[in-house]
Amino acid sequence: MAVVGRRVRRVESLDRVKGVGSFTDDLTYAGMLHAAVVRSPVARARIKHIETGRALRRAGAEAVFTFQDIPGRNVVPIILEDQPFLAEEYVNYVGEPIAVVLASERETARAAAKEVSVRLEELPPILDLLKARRHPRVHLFGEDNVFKHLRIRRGDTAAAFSSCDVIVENEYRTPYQEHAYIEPEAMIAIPHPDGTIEIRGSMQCPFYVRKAVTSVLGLPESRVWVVQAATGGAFGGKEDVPSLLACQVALPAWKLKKPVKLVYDRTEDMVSTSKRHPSWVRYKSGATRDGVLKAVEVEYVIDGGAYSTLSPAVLYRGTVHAAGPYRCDNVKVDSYVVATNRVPTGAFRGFGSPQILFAAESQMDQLAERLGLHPAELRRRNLLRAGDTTITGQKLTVSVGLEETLDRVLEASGWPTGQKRDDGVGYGLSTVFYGVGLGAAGKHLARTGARVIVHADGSVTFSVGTTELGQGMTTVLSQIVSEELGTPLECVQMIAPDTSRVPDSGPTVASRSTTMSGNALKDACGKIRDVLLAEASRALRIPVSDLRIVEGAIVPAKEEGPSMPIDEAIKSCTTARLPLSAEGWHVSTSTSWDDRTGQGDAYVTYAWATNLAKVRVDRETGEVTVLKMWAAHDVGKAVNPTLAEGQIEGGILQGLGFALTENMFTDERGVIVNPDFSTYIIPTAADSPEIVSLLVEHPYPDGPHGAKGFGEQPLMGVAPAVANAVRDAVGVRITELPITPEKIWNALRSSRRVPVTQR
Amino acid sequence: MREASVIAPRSLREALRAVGRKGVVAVAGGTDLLVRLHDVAAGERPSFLVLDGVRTLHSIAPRGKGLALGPLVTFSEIERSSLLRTLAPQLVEAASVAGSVQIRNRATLGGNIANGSPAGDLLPPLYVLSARLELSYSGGRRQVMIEDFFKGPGETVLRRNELITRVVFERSQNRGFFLRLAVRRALAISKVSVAANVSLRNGRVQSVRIALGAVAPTVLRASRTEEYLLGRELDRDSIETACGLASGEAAPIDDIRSEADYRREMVGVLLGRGLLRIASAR
Amino acid sequence: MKLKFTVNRRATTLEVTGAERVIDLLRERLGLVGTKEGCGKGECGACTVLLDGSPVCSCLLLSSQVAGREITTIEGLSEGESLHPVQAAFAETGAVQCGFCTPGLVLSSAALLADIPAPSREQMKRALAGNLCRCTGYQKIFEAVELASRNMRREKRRRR
Repeated sequence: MAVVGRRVRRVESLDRVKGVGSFTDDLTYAGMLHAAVVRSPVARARIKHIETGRALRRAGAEAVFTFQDIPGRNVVPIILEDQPFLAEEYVNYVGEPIAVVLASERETARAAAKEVSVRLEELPPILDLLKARRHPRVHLFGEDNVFKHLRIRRGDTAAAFSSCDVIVENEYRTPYQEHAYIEPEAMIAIPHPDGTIEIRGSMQCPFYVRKAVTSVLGLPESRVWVVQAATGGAFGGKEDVPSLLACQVALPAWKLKKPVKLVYDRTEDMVSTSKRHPSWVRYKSGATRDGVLKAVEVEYVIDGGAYSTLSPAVLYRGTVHAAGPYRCDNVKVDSYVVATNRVPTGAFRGFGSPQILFAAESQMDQLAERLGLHPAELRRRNLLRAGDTTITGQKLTVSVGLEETLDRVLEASGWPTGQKRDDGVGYGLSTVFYGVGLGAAGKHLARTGARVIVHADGSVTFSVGTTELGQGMTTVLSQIVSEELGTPLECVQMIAPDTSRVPDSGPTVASRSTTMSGNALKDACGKIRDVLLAEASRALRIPVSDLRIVEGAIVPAKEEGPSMPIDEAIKSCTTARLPLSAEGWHVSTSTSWDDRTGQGDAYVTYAWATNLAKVRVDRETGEVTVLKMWAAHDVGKAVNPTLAEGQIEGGILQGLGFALTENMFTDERGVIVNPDFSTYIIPTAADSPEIVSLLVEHPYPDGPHGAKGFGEQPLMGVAPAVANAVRDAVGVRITELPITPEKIWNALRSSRRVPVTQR
Repeated sequence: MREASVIAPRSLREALRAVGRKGVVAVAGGTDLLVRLHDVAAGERPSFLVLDGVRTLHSIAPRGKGLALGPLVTFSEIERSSLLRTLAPQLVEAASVAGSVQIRNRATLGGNIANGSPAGDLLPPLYVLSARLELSYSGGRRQVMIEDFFKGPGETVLRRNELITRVVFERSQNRGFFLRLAVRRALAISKVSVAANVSLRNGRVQSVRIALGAVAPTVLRASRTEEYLLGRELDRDSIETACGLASGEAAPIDDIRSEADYRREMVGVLLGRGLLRIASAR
Repeated sequence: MKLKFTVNRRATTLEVTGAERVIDLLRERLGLVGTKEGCGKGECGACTVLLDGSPVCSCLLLSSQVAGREITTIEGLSEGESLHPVQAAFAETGAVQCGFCTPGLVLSSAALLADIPAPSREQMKRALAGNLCRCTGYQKIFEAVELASRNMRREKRRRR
């Protein structure tokens, strides 16, 4: 392979280092207006009246739109269709959109939005996820405020626990995690004279945006054209939310026949857009004396906020990952996503799994401790290998590199396993896995299109329906196209993702771009290769089956014989008026899920990882310094190792934020009190430890060149590794994230009051 | 912000004439002020009195045995001043941990004082250096000890027609430190901070000043702790007692950055670390 | 008021009120959109520009505060198609992911290397802590600064 597997330079990086203006807010159109959103100041209320007069009298203000102006349906269609685009009778969270204000300048629009007065009759809200289920008075969704309940039933946990030698039972909590992409949400709508409307903005999922805009404007899909602008980070935060923004610009642009731009202010972004679901977990696990994980019982509750958005899918991933990457014959999982009067939560790297893995991997270390086994040894005795069956009954056949990730980390770190030192330094392990792609919950979306055109001069353009978010998809897909067609990388150009160029290809989520778009491109390139090879075959008088493309030439598979440069083959095809463009299409292999038992082939395949954290804990202040992190990931095949390492390093730092500092506080009225970067604490350069990334490649035969998706996985096991390291360092177990100095200090203080043997 | 007007004086006299006018707010570095005005619509913004152009407010100069700093001296200038490194090490330590490079390049001494936050990092060092503030108005000036300047969080005795024009303190011939805890290693506001200025004679504490940040509505002098330490040797026992006393003097609260109990105890931990450093440096 | 200042080595005069944020002047009046707004409160560093060579947040800077001074934005760090060694190193090591924080980080790194030609990791961390990046984990950014440092020192030695 000439290009796949090489550390080629990210294709858009030259533009980015020069600051070329490609992000949404860098774009300007003639006559463009600016939008600002009027939002609910309270968590739950009935809307009595919306008064727009004062806002409209402000100089420069152009218009105000409410739900009454919507020509189509007032709904943001995601999964359950319970979320209105603009509030009608009720508001259900602080920050819920009520109206959109337009003005000639951004500042004016924002000022005028504050002058729209909304008369509200406040109602008592539900703000606690555990009180939401079966709440006696407040009904936000269905009978019981449960958006979705999922279960796994496997074996007989009650009987299995009675045969266990050790049982560990604990409760865990995790808070909101905010995506904190550095580019705030931003969108532009441009109405065209031919009756179409163009949407251009920062987004993960152009086809979701198109669906939302067609629904709200009541237009056919053919008249809504969505193009992704350069997107400054997403991490799941630009999965469903851009659909809202798109409607917020599309409605006024459509009505006023002028381009409209909307960029969220950072605080507005943090208050009103999705985050990682807060969670509560009760986790019981049991093992026999020889270290076999016998039974796991989990109750998992996550806070979906006021509307269901992506929550059912988030819950699905959390449920499938509930027991960690281990064999276990007796499993009972009940998971719930509940409705509260808080901002709707949604997708965030890991998608419901980091919360449950924090619990699962903390449990494993406690079992190891009780059994007197080294944490790595307990894991080794239980981890999934090829031939094993997962807790959903899925038989794993190939691409199961978990044990190798464990070996690689142990080898690279030289983790001292001898006697415990008393220097406040500790090591903590986690082994995790990641179901690649949408899985059975998103089966209907598991298809992707692509289009490839080989031009007469030999250069190539391609289009896909998935998006570049900084993860490196453009580069990886360009490498794949270059490899397939023998075209030099610098002659391959990706067209910005555009709903008019390829069929609905589903969302850019679930670490699916490399595999899905990569396979669709391979399909398209294959069709073009057939044409090229047939033409070469005619000219060279060698059967097609005996020809190959190697480094820019079509050569005979056997060593001797004439060859033909690709350029010449292209010229020849052009002269012969043969089509050198093709559509590609890829459909995932089948997945399944039984709602009653939670059994089935949950995902097409899995990525695997081991993380090791080395920390130092200051016993007096409780402060944790992460000294070093090791992470090994089985990615099938690293199409570009530099980019894969970038995913690991970035994911680890986000995971360290989740583990140690990131927390969003809501007051007793449901208002987020720290919606900015000085109070919502993400790691800075000064907080980043040395990270050792190790790539393990157990090829996935259905992935392009053996690759499987893994971009989310680097974050997923970091928090439990840190919690386990803190326990190793100073003997306290923190079960609620983030692991703050205050919590460690409190735990150390209370542990000092208890004799060590009783801990 | 387009509608707001700006006054950009070139001399102190001009500045003092303008400062008292209705709806005028003085801007030093702007790193706090412009954050607070972030959500204020252009029409409702005050007029800015931009002080950058007043040369005399930027100086760092010896005065008598001590030092006189202009209020527009930036955190970066404090951090890099070799004069201050020897004469006011606490101030240099505090200036170098605050914010980020970008913030330190603009944030000023005077702004940190006028802002009046109990977590302002330069304040505890100024307390232990017995800083005096020169407050000027058109036609006169007065002097206020730093401890008398603050009335509460964000509240000071600075009158509407006054500017801080000079910060004067004696040179510290003593040993001093500034230590703090924050939610992350940079770009963070202190959860708790402790500054001290200690002089020893024949192994005994001859003079001592201790100030605590972010544990009360204003920066706090730990006067009972100081009293206790006076005349004593700095050994493990005296330091431990002092730490306990200082913790007791703090009056912290729970907020999003930390918890009251933790802060109270950390006052003692930080003071202990600083005093041990002094004791072992003897 | 008439604002006279230097932007990317070019003497510039603009009619201003004096109360505009410098970031708005750059982006809206001068079309220099490489300077990004991430928070508007000096907390993320995406809007970093060099003021007389020192990194500052242009979102917390008033136009009247830059009178007579020199501003360098990402567009002015190198001329034409050429790249500053820091820019080249960022592209080379994989220090760019989404790229939104990149202009600010490149400028902060360039200022660091102008001040300290061969910084330690600790010095890098201190110098870059004001530029939040949510994608990279900063590892490859440190590698980029190291690479640029080596290249710049080699270039300097060669010129001597």
